Amino acid sequence: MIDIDRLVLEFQTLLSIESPSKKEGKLAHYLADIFEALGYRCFFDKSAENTGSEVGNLIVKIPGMIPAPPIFFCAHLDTVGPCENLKIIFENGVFKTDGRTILGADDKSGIAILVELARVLRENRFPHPPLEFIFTTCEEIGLLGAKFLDLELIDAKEGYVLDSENPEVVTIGAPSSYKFKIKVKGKAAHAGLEPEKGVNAIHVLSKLIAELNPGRIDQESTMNIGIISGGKYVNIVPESAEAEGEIRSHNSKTLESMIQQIEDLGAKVEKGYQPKIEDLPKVSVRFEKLYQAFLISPDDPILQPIKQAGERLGINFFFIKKEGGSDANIFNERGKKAVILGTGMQKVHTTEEFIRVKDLVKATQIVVEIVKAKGESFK
Amino acid sequence: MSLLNKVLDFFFPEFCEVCNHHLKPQEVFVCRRCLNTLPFLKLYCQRCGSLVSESLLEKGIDRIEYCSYCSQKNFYFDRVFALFQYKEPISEWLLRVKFAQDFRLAFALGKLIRTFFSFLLSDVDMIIPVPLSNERLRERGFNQSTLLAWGFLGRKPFSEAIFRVKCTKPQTELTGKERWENVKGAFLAKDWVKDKKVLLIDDVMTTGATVNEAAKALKMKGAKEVYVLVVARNQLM
Ligand SMILES: [Zn+2]
Ligand SMILES: [Zn+2]
Ligand SMILES: [Zn+2]
Repeated sequence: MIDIDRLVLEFQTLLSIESPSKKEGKLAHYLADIFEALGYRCFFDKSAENTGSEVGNLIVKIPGMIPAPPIFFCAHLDTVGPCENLKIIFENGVFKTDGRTILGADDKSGIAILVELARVLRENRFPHPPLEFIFTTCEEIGLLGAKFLDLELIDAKEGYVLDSENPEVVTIGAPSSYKFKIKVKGKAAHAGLEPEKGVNAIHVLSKLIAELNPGRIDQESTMNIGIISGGKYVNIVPESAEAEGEIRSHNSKTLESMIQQIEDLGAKVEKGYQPKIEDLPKVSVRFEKLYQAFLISPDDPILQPIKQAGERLGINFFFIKKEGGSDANIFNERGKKAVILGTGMQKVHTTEEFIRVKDLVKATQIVVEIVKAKGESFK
Repeated sequence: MSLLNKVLDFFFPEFCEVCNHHLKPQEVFVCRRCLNTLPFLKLYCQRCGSLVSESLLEKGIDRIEYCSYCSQKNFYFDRVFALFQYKEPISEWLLRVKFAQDFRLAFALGKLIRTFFSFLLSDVDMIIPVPLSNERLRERGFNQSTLLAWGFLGRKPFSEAIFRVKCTKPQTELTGKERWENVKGAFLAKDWVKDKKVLLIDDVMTTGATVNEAAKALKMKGAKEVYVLVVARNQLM
């Protein structure tokens, strides 16, 4: 069913089409042409207005052979950098680069799998539900495509995101993440002439940070302070200082209490700081949700076709939680149940990124078997 | 060695089991250097203990929530903790514990697993060794799991909560399928496990049939959660 040479050639072609975040247009149109030529309807949503990308998300509809509920597959169009002047090296069944750029198998391996799936479905007649392919933009810069995806265009209630490494490992959970910004407003004064008239914002912020405990909070939670800034001149008591960080947890209660702790700490440091001048310092803490945690239980029906595919292919799938966010967080948050499948890509987001053809083929087989299993289990 | 000596010797372990060097105070049973050479189980399914290729570890995966196997099997236990692969010298040690009645070794292994899983002591309400049948107990004189649990706890474990009501054939003589049949209905638990979080201790887990049956008995009497702690995880080929 799967044509390995065709899959590999398509993958190589996709790699050669540059598609950094916000500049996914060329790749998206190339794909729309392929799917339309296969006879499938393609849509672009209007997410570009909000994501800042050249194009919206691309949605492809493949009619079902049976009246089963539709399912979706998703891969993202954009890649991280550096990606200019990509030089692909293919050696011993492995795709990699010359070490100057990333390869872009994240997530073009996922895209290649879906193109091959569409071709397999065109050539072979077997019962399968309607499929919707969602190709998102701007995944790497904050999951923007998925966040602004027009759900009116999607009928499927659940699906599979092709965006992790190992074909035999399925991601069934991911943490919530918030970023936060701590701002301290102090009062400027000349540091040599009249320091007592100033309130040193850097000093206040330091006291606060010294009481935070970044790092691993517990088995399922972490905290980081990643950016700090403030002050202008060595002889001026700094008027403002800022720090930015993030928190992640698989447990929403822990996350809430971490947020509370940081807020309380801000209030405590503000209240306790002496001497105060004109009600200063002021400490403000702002949180912004990046993505919401999800966790799929072992008996959830969304895993059934994966297990069936595993039985057919002789694979014992392992189900894991991952530590970062992906489009799957957004889908789950927006009411579309999703898990993440591996495509075979390795060492993503580095210039050592590579993928074994063997793994890409295995991942494609798994996806085809999932679609078959979905069709066969429908009564 | 007399029983008394065996017990005394346990309280004053001095030499590394592997290289015979004197142990430093913080070292348990084997010296630091030899400890690193033991066949630790680095990655396994935490729901059922299935072994996972270590190549996944190199790919940054350090924790498996569940696998296809256990998500279809619906085991009665909820989590598995295992320290070693069933390989030399662990396999040889466990055989010595079982058949040569090496008390000192059993206690020491229990103590060793404690250094890795001490967090379980405060996490569970009850720690119970997987029991032997009365016949087997009479024949062997002691239950190796009780000794392991004794070493793990640092005191005599509470073993009255679950009984073996059926004398079964040794699992090691059977194939995978037969093992599941063999242990069916082998255990009966007492009512006081109700709403408790129980940790079952055993020496080796192979198919999981035995601990699953024990966990089933505990769950039937209302145990809230059942964890399994084994020295080694073996896999039927
Ligand atoms: Zn990706
Ligand atoms: Zn030694
Ligand atoms: Zn498992």
